[in-house]
Parts: sequence; structure tokens; C-alpha cells
Amino acid sequence: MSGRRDVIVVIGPALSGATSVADALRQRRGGYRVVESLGRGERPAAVVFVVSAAAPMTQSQIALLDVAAASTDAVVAAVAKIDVHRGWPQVLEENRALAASPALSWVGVAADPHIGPSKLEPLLDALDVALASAQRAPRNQLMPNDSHARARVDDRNRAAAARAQRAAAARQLRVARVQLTGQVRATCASLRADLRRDATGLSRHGVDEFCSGVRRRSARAVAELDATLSRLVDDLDIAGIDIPWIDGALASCPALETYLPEFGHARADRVTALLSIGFGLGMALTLGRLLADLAPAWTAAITAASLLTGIGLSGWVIRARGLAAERAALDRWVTEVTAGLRTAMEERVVMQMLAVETAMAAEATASQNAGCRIRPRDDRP
Amino acid sequence: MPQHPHAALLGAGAAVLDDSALHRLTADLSAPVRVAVTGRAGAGRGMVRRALRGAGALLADPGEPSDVDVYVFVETLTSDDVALLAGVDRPTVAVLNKADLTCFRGAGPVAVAAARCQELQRRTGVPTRPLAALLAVAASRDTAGQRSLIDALRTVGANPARLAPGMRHRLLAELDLFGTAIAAAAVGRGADTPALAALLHQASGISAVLEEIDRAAAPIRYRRLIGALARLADAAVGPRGAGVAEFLAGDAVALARMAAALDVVGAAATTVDPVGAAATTVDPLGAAATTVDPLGGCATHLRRAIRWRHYAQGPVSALHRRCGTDISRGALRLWLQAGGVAEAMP
Repeated sequence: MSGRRDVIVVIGPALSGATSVADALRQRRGGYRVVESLGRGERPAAVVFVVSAAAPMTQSQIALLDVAAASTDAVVAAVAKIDVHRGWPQVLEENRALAASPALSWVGVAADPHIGPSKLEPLLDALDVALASAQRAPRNQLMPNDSHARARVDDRNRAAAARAQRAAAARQLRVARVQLTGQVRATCASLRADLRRDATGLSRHGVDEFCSGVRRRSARAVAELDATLSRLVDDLDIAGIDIPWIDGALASCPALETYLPEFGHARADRVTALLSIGFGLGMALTLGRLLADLAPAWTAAITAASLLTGIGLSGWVIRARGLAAERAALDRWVTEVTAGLRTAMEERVVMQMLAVETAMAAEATASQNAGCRIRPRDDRP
Repeated sequence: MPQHPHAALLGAGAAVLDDSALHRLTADLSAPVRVAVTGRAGAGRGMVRRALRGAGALLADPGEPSDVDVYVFVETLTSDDVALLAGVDRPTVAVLNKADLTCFRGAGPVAVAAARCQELQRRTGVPTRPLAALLAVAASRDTAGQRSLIDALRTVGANPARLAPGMRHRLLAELDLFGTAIAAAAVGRGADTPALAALLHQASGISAVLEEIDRAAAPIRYRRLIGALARLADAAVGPRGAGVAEFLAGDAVALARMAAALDVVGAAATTVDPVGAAATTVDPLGAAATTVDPLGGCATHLRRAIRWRHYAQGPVSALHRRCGTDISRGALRLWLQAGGVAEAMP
């Protein structure tokens, strides 16, 4: 016979009385090694599952019983501390109803009684019956081993494949981050050069249209980036991960509008107006006097004409100065807009990458946790 | 129902002002908190409900919202219990029921259960107390029931064999093993009905549970007080409002708010880990003195006011910020009463 014949494992939640039952079994069944936790690779001949008679089982205890019953056919469930809990028969019946397998034999024990004599006989009898039937059945030797080994290999393969996939995805992600950052920088630089060139040849009527054009082109650049990002997320080869899509309108990633500075129309200031008027009047005076000297007979007409010319000149200079100032302001504004756009786009890239990485890390943790099998003693809170 | 100290402070004002709104407010504040009993199946939730009702607690009807939850478990917290307790959103007191059956060796079941509760409380952060609900229910029984019990207990002490089977079952059902043992010993020493009830009440641990419920309800009472005062502010306008407004601005209200706030931070201080850093942020001076103490030095009040003001400005929840402000304000009133002179800032 192999070593597994010798071992009876007694398991139960904290304070259930499992230790007392194990001690009592050790005394009464010297032929077996009675343990409370199994060593690596050990297979129990029988499992004694102990719960307290204080109350019916909870969900975690039922799960523990399922784990215990999975490793062998010879399982006996015991309700302990029946010396103090007078309601133990009801608890036993409720436990029997709660347990998944109706064939499981339930007994009441008082292994280390505080009151009265110990009651271990029903457990010993049930254990003997379970051991005898398990010895007769070949399933107990082969099936659990086989299924355990298969499950272990499957688990290991799955875990390795998932790890490799995650590593590849992480690499892909790093490359994509570098590429996207470069793309953002290039887009913004070319946009700035385009817009500045446009701004230098702008007429006064074109300012409003130019402003809305800047916004349109910024929005288009962001939309292009979004498309690239979503393509990238789709391409990422991570099965079973739900990657959240960070919308530009989310609070964590401010919308484009918050980055783009407002363009206010540059007003021709008073000094410019004053100088322009002075220039116009000077021109009118000079022209008037020159022409009046040449043709004194037409003095009145010449005065009026030169005055009109002076006013016209003043207006033209004011407009020209205003346009130049507006173009300079537009140039500055374009620089600011492209800088803001670059910040917004970079932030969007970083946020989306972060979301992908978070989803990947969460998935890795979840699969790691799922990989840890529940061991019998793990129930203790 | 006895008046709560906060209500009593306001009640004095109500008597002076003779305002119906104030009287209503006092009644509102004296109203007990509604307790809901939840917990593990088979842990004796029904018996805990009866015990709490017998001890004077107001239980929430099924479907009715409760102020404080009592979570009943037995022996120890399973992982299901811990998960449930971690997710509660109401003030909760965990109760280890059937404490009288914990262990019949060493220091006795109640002491063992109390030690276990302390350990569980340290681990979960939820106030945890042992309770023998059966004994508490037995203690709240009427005199006629007690008298027949005493007769049976005398027989147990004198000659257990002569006890009728019906009586034996009744003793076990109503007192169980530990209860029967201590009650029979007490009756043997000559205890009468009230003494027996007092013994069972004391052994059951129900008063500690009620105290803990009271402590857990401190934020509820504080919120009630704040809400009631806010409603009262409506009555402070209008032709008859001058008296109410004066009362609202007076020392009685400031001190009542301070007392309620001290209860809140005091309750929080007991539930945080004593070795944890959180405990150090709570003023030991104020937390220890959970009642408004009008005595004490002028400098003590000022120091306390400053310390709680700093507390309110620290990284604490909105509730604690308000509490800190109220304590600081109350302490400043006490400081003025004790002779403190407010100086203008240079």
C-alpha cells in the first residue's frame, strides 16, 4: 500500500473543534496518521470535516466542505461540541440539507467535552464504513490523481500562455506610446507652421474665419489621434480584457476647449490713432501749402481736397496698423493653441495607455488569484 | 424613556422660552435610535431581538430603516461575516451570541467570549461585544415567571434527581447550562427575584451591548441635533422669533452641540486601533472628557479649542470637521465663562 493509506485529515473552520476531534482520533485510531493539514502531494485516505454545533454552516464553510469532498470519496462530516449546544440535532439536519452531496454521512461528536462523557463512537463507526467502502472502490485511487494532475497541467499551461500574452501586449504598448508621442509632436509642429503662414497673409475680413478654422483643424487633429488610439486598442492582442475607452469629455482628461486660449480681437489703441491722425493732418497741411503756392487761385478747393486726402490717409494708416497688430496677435495665439493642443493630445495618449495598463494589471491579478486553489485551512478569517 | 443629556441641555432652554417648537425638538432628541438585528442564520437573531426589546431598546420593524445595526454571530467571525461587516454603511455593533456556551473551563464562558470579542474587534474595527441573549431574556421576565424558576432552581440545588422532567426542560430552554448553574448557585445563597434578575442581567452582557449601541449611535444623535437646530432656525424669524434666535445663539446650544460632537469623536476613538496612528489625531483631553465639563482652567479650555480647531482643519471626514468646529466653539464659550477675555488681533 502507498503512503496515502495512512492519512486521515481532519479539517474545519476556526474554533470548530477540529483539533479536539483530531486529538481524539489519534488516540482511538492508532493505525492511521491523523493530521490537520496535508503535506505536498499527500492524499488522504479519509477526510473528517468538522463544524461547530453552535449554528448551521455558512457559505464559506460549505465551500470548504466541497473542497474537502473533492479529494476523496471517504468523507465524514461531524457536528462538534454537542455537549454544550443542545440544539445540535437541528443544526445537523440543516447542515445535511445545506451540503451539496446528500450521500455524505453526518454525525454529532463531543471529542473534548466540557460537560459529560465524550461521544466519539458515531464518528468512528461512520469513518470505518467510509474507509471500507473507499478501499473497495477503485475510483478513489485513480480518478482524483488523474483529474488533479490534468487540472494542474491545464492550469500551468493556461497561466504560461496568459503570461506570454501579457508580456507581448506590454511590449506592444511601450512601442505604441513612443510612436504616438512622436506623432503628436509632428502633427502639432506642422499645424503650427501652416497656421503661422496663413496668419501672415490674412486680410481683416478673414480673422473670424481663421479662428474657427484653427478650432476645426485642432478638433480634426484630436479626432485623428482618437482614431489611431482606438485602432491601437483594438489591435492589442489581449484576450478577455475589457479595456475602458477614455472619452475626451471625461473629467480626468479635460476637453479640448479647456486647452485652447480665447482669441480676443486686438484693438487699435489710442496712441496709434493719434499718430495716424497727426500723420494725415501733416500730409494734408504739406500738400495744401505746396499746391496753394503753385496755384493760388484755387486755394479753397485745394484746401478741401488736401483735407480729404489727409483724412483718407489717416484712416488707411489706422487700418494698416490694426491689421499688423492683429496678425502679430494671431501669430502668438496660434503658438499658444498648438502648445495647448499638444498638451491635450499627449494627456489623452497617456490616459488611454494608463487605462490599458490598469486593465491588464487587474486582469493579471485576477488570474493570479484564480490560480491559487483554496486550501482547506485557508478559511480562517 | 429617560432624557438624553443633550436633550436635557436644550430642555432647560425650552422650559424658559416655553416655545412649542423647542419642546418638540427636545422630544425628537430624546427619541431612541432604531436598532435592526441582522447576522448569521442560526446564531439566535430572534433571541437577540427579544433580549434587546426586553432591555428597552427600540427595534426597527422589518422594512423600516434602522439607525444602528446589530450583527449577530456565534463562536467567531467566519470569512462571510468579515466580508459582510467590511461592507456595512450604517453604524454596526457585532454581537457574539451564545456567549454563555463559549467555554466551561478557565475563566468561564463570558470572560473567554469577552477576550475573543476584543481580538475580533481589533481585527475588524467593528465594536464587538459578547452576549448571552437567553439570559438577558430570562432577566427581563416578569416576577411570576421568576418565582416559579426560583422554585425549580432550589430543587436543582438541593436534590437534582427530584426535578420533574418538564421543569428540567424548561430550565434548559430558558437558562441553558451556564445560566442554570449560576442561578442555582445564587438561589442556594438565598437570592430573591430581583437579585436573580440582576445576576442574569449582569451575566448576559446586555448592558455592554446597549452601551456599545449608544456609542455607535453618537453620529446619529449629532446629526439629529444639527438637523433639529437647522429646523428651529426657521422659527427664529418672525414676530416671536427673537427669543428663539437668542436661544440658538446662546451657550446652551453651543454646549449641547459640543457634547454631541464629543460623543461622535469619542466613539470613533474607541473603534480605531489603539496602536494605530488614527488614535493620536484625536485629542486625548477632549476624547477622555466626553461630557461637557464646565469646570477646569481657563487655559485648558482655550488649549482645547485651539487643538480641536486644528483637528477640524486636518484630513478628517466632513462629519468630524463639523464636530471639531463645534467642540472648538463650545470650548471657547466655556473659556469665556471661565473668565477668558477675547483680545482683538493687533
